Amino acid sequence: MNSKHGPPLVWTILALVSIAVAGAGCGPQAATTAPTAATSVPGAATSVPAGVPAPDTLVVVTAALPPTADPDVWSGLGWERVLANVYDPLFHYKLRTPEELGLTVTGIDALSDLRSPMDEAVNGVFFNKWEISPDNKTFTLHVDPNLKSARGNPATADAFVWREQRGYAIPSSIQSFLVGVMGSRDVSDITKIDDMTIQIYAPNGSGAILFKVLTLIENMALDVKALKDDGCLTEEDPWGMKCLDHKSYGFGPYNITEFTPGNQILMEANPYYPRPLQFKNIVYREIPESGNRLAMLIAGQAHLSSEQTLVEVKSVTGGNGEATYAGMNVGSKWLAVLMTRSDPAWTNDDCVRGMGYAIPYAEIQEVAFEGTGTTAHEDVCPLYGENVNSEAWPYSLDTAKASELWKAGGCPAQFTLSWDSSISEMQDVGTMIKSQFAKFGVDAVLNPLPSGTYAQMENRFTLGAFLEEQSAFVPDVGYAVWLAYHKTSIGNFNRFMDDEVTAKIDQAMLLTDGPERKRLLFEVQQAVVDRGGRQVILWTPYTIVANKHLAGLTWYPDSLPRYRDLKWVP
Amino acid sequence: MKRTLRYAAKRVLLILPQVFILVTVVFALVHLLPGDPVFARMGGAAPLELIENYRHQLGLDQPIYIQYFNYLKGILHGDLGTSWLTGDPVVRDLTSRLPATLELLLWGMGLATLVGIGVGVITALRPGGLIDRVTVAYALLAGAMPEFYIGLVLVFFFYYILRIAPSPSGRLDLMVAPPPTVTGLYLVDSAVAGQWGTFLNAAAHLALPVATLAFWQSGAIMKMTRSTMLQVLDGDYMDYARVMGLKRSVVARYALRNSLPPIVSLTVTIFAILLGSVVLIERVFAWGGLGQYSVQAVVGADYEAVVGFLMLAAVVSLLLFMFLDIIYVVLDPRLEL
Repeated sequence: MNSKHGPPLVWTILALVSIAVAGAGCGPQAATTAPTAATSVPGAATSVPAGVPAPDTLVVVTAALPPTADPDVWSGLGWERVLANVYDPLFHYKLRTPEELGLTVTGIDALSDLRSPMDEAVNGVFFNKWEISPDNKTFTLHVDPNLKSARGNPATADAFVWREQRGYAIPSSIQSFLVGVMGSRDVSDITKIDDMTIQIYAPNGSGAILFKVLTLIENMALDVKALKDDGCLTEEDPWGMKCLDHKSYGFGPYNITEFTPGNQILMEANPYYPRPLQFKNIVYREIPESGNRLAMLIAGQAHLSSEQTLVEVKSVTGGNGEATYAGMNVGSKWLAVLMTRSDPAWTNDDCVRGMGYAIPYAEIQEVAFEGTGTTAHEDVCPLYGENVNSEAWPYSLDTAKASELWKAGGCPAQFTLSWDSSISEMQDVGTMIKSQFAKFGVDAVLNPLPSGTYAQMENRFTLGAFLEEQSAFVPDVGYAVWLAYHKTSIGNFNRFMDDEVTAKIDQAMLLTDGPERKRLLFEVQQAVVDRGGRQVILWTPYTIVANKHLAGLTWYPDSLPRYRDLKWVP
Repeated sequence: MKRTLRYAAKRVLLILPQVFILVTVVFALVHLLPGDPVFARMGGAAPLELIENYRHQLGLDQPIYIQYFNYLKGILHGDLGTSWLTGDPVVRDLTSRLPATLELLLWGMGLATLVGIGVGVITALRPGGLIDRVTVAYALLAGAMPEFYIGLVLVFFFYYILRIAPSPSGRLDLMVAPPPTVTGLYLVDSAVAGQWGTFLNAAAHLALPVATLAFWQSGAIMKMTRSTMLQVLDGDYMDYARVMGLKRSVVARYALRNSLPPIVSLTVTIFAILLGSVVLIERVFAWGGLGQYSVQAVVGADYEAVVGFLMLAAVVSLLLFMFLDIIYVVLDPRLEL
């Protein structure tokens, strides 16, 4: 390959590639000097410098897009993040500043008010007026006449009733809330009174609980008129599954305009939304590598991510390039060891108590969670108001006591500790627990499981002892203990079947907050902390990596950021 | 020519039973994967009725042999089923993602081949020289490092530190719309549409993943070229050519021509394997191609997507190997089909 006829071909090609890279001017340096207009129309690239998100477009990066946007097909945390920003629930918590709530946070401007009495704690979103019957079982809700969908269709009672019917028919997780928590027998307990009024009959619940249930993102109304106009409701598909899979039909702040699975979701602001929205467009983009997401955030090419590792979050604390950390050291999500009480290894209460004294709480916080989060001193999220019983908590690391209880209970010399292998921290947590048990001669066999296997075994209560990260989305102590300990709750994975505790939970659920409810819930927490079979280790932190110009970050009990609250500060 | 066409037709027909066996084996293996895909999608707290409804929708409540026959019936009608991860027909998923992977592979392997053969020839002509020593070390390094690591290092230096590369966010910048689809290859389609801004943007986004792929694979091609060329250059007919006073460039050309069969064989084999192995590069660069799709399908136990992808990879590989056999005969007239 002599150079008689000029430079070798390979060098020519490399030179051309280099010119293309330089000429495209697509590096972050170019991005910070030339703001561009937000657009996704063909030909735009020829008129604006590429790679610079405009102030009216928010770029959110995520590890994986959800497979669907259907509000009745639960598909994980990614699905919840999309739903939380496309749809509005029926009620929102009022927001208060951290100072008003006496909480220490970083970069979070407002938090849901969980401490006020119910009638002061929520704003109506879909419903703007309501009445509760004297027996607390019948709720009459009036639709806000000013609310419109992204298509300009006014909100009506049909939008809510049809959506509930859909939830029951499919059935979706919404059904388990209303049936399980509120005792609604079927969808006939939700009735349309007139075009703008509905009634819900909830034999097992109180007004306080219902409103909290209706703040969940899964409880939204759907624009059934638009679904009909688009021909989505057919004989073969009466509930519009095909349309709702990758599109949205709601009254919320944003509307999905494009959904490319595995790539990105584009959202546009609802022009009829009653509040002004900073960002007219949202690009929700899948970037599988967390390091790349972080690099894009630091470069300013992405604005928000809730899925960075704790090490990465630490690296932007205080600011790094365009990125900074926002969050709080206690969120509503717990890390816990659950012990299936119906499993022979865990029927004895002493074994359950022994676990409580064998967990290295502080070490787990330090090693697995980089010193973030808050070690548990209660069974229910400490943010959930005055009904949280911290006095009932006796546990700390004490292997001598754990050993004593283990012997007294005749507990097994070996047990299996399982977890969902897709959660990276669990390996460290499991290893540290194993080390403590090894000190008194008990072998904890570590058993990471594929997600599908874990979920299946969890559903069938065959896991034995296992690590879990979860949260009780309804921010109510009564609901939280109902979820984990009520005999009929599908979330009672530890199979704690105590009639007395169940009866007290039922009683508490019928009451609004007050001294009697507090007494009942305190007693329940006393019992479950002692022998419930769920040992909370840590309240994990709520973390966001955000662009330093973003203000208005908020916290809701579901720990899902809301883009409608954001502001851009130049 | 007629013989070649007959041979090609015979090989294409052979693909059918080969793919059938592959589909059967893969279908069985995929259903043996641990974990219930319905639970993986729905979570442990889903109501049992919902789980059973969804299992019924996916046809997973049927006996395995019924599922298998239904799947085969679908294949005969060009229906590879529906991905429950994307909700779209698998055929549509595969065809929409194939161009992304192809574009990466074509440019990556093109560059790897050019660099590999070019440098391999230089080092064969000047064995023991500085370039030879450097490339031996390079080839060892390239083969030893995992491709995702190479990709991440390139992103770190060229995007994060030097700020001269675009973000690793896919084939185009976030605000740039794709060109009108002709082939699905963005460089081609944007050139056809005259969208030169998009062309440059797509080229810039291709730079790092192509460099990753080329760096990763050129080492093997380089080593094969070098060793084959050295063997050929040692041959009696090469001595004769030199003795007869032929110019060095002509001798080199003769040597390269005679070295091509094993080099082409290696290159095509690498290309066939890469269709499924480029997954980690696609993941690092959020490429949205077949590799990323197949990994998501395996992790999510999306049976139909997994089998569909494997079928496509098998068909492409078998076609490539058929092409290789034909090319071999073209390159070496002593051989017969």
